[in-house]
Amino acid sequence: MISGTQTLFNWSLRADTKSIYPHIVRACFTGFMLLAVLAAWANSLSGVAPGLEFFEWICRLNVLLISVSGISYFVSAVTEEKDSGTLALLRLAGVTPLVIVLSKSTSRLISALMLLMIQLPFTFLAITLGGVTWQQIIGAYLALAAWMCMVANVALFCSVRCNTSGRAATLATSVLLLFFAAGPILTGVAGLTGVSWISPQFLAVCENLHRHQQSILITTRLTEIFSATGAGDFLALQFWRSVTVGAAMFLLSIVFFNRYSEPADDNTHGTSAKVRRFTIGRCWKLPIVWKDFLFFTGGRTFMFTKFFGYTLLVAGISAFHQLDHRDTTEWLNNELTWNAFIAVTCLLCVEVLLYASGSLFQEVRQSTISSLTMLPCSTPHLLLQKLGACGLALTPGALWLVILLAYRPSAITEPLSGTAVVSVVFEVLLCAHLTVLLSLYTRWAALPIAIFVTAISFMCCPFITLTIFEFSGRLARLNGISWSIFLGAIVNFMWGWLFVLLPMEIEIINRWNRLSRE
Amino acid sequence: MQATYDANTVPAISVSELTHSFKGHQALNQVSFAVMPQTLHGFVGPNGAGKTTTLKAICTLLKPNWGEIQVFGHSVRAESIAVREKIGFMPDHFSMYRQMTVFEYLDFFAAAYGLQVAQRDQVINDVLTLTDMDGRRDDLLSGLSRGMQQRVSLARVLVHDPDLLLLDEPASGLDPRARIELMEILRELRRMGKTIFISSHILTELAELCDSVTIIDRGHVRFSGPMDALLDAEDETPRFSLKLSQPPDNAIELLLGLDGIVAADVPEYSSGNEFNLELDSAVDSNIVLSAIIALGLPIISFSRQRKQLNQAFMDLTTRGVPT
Repeated sequence: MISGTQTLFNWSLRADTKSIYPHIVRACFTGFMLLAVLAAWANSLSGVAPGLEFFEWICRLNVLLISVSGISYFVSAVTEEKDSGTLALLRLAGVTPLVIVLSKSTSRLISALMLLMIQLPFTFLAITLGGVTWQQIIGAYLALAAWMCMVANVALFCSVRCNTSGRAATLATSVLLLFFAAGPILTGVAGLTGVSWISPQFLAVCENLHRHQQSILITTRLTEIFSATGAGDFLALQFWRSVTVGAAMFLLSIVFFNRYSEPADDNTHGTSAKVRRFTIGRCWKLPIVWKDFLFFTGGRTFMFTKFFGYTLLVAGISAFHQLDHRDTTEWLNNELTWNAFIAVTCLLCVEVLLYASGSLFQEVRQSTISSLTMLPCSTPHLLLQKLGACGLALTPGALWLVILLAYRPSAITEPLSGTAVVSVVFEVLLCAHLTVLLSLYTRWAALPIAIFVTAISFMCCPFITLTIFEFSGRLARLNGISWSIFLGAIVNFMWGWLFVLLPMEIEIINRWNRLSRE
Repeated sequence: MQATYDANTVPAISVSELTHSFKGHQALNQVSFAVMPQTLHGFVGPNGAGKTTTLKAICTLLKPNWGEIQVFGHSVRAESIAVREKIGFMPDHFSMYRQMTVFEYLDFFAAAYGLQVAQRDQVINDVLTLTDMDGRRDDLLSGLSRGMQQRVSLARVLVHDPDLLLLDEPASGLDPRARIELMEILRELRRMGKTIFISSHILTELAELCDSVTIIDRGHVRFSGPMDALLDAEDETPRFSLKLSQPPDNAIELLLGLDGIVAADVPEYSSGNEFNLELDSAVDSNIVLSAIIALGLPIISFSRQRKQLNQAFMDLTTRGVPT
């Protein structure tokens, strides 16, 4: 067992070291560190403890990076063998599930630890700058290590459970986002003490769940460490619970390994010719739209299912309103219309990103790029058809947005500022573009890396948008144009498209053409 | 049936001075050859010789560093869309949407080439009949054997009725029966007037099938022309086969004693009544035949041995893989 583990471990470590992407991630991380040094220096001018401020920066960045790299590195641990069809060969060679899981995850763990290692000089710099104690540093790194253990093993379990790296990445990202979103959701529900039909026991359960979720959450633990009371106990509840969850996930990965080691079955439309004739039908005049709509996004059946799901969501919110206000005749009040709008928008964004990560990647995985490129149409035309298929699949969510907007326009337009709309729409477009581009370079990490980069860019995007809005607004007023908000939006999108999105679109086309030759 | 051409016939493929390198490796160096319409042209060479690179350049997927390629007079570089309409390319690896059925797969590609629904039905029926797959039209591609997937792949390149078929190793991985059937389909396609440019490693079948051949090695064309010109090339010592009904025990000695016979032996695995003869190139073979008859040997046949494509290939190419 030892020699098998060592061989697989060596091979995995060598493959990871040869790949250029982890090195790029580490270089980017160092770049962000330098930015953090600059920010700390700027803050020190106003008398704030620069060392503590700088170390807090490092730790917050670590949380984001561990979450992203945890998913990126570990979701492919087992699925890369499934994708390349070599898992069965390993099993035939007598390699046990424990050896496969252990060796494949350890090499990745070393890669992830490299990220923490490169921070050491910066940590010493934080101590030199002053304001941070040794206890805080040790407490923070233990908390981060426990968080990494949990995230990595959850991703590892997803890698065992799913047939492909793409599905594993989607599942792991969804679990992590749900975990982060659980805090505000549970707080919100637990705060509904005035609603007559919700039982106090249910509220107590939500309150309890929220307390447990907060006890594992890394951000809460870091806030505790950097508060005036200090780190307290090094091995806090967060550490033990995270490590326990991580260990449990590792064990589950081994236990369920054999059960989920079958190769992927992509057929979702059944084998009956009659059923397929009804659900799939004949190819449309835009064949790539037809192909992607039916065989990538799930087709009509899945579109109706999604529409039903969105309807259930809005109906649930409406039912909540009706139960709370029995005498009312309206379906939704202003606040719940806004909440429903935000919920549908969030789900729509998730859909957009999932389609972006898979639309071109599925052609890479199936080696069908050259067949498509050989068709008598240009690459932009071909990619636009793929975009059209995804657009069609997004119609249920988009339709519900329109319905909600038509139902109570003021409930949605009043809380929204022009800057917020432009920033959010631009960030979603940026993230989708990045995901598509990265999906042509990496096998599994496109979505997490795109979210990471977008999250970083989100810090400066509203500032740029606001500046352009202000500038275009003044220009509009000087020229007597009353609809300055539209001018601001147009200018923002033009600049964003010209300098950010267009170069990415060109690179997507070039990369697609390069891949078609391989 | 061999087609005849005049000087004005536009070649189906015209490659001139094609040169390409990637990552410091010279894949193609001044490659030039032509393929005439309605012929079956073999394209052979060792692994890494540049066959797939040439095919990708012809089918518009690869822009070469230097050189010109024309398909039926259209420049691949300048008129790639027009060229794509004229060609059907079958790559060496399968690239299929495995969740589709055979019919859906062909319907998709027919629609992509702009065929209307009624036209598509007719074409799909025709290509399925031609490839003997009409009984499997509703089967999922993922459930087909490799040979059947190969047939579907061939059907796919035929849906838009291209004039030129570019086939990269179409018989690789097929069992002998599937390979023979595939060759039959290719013969049928040639009879239908298609030009077929086929890259393959199975030289014996190519020798029987192809009208012309190009041999490429380490990015250089070693031979390009009619198959007959390659196989009937004059040797320094012409080889003949002699078959006798009842050879005497000392037949070899008797034969070697004749003027003009340089060497004589019995081929491996023969029943003992066949002989390989190597003649002096300066001596007329008719004189040698007269001398054998004069010996009183009971002759069944005496014929010139045609050079095997395998032998020609080995003579023209270099041992080992390129570095």
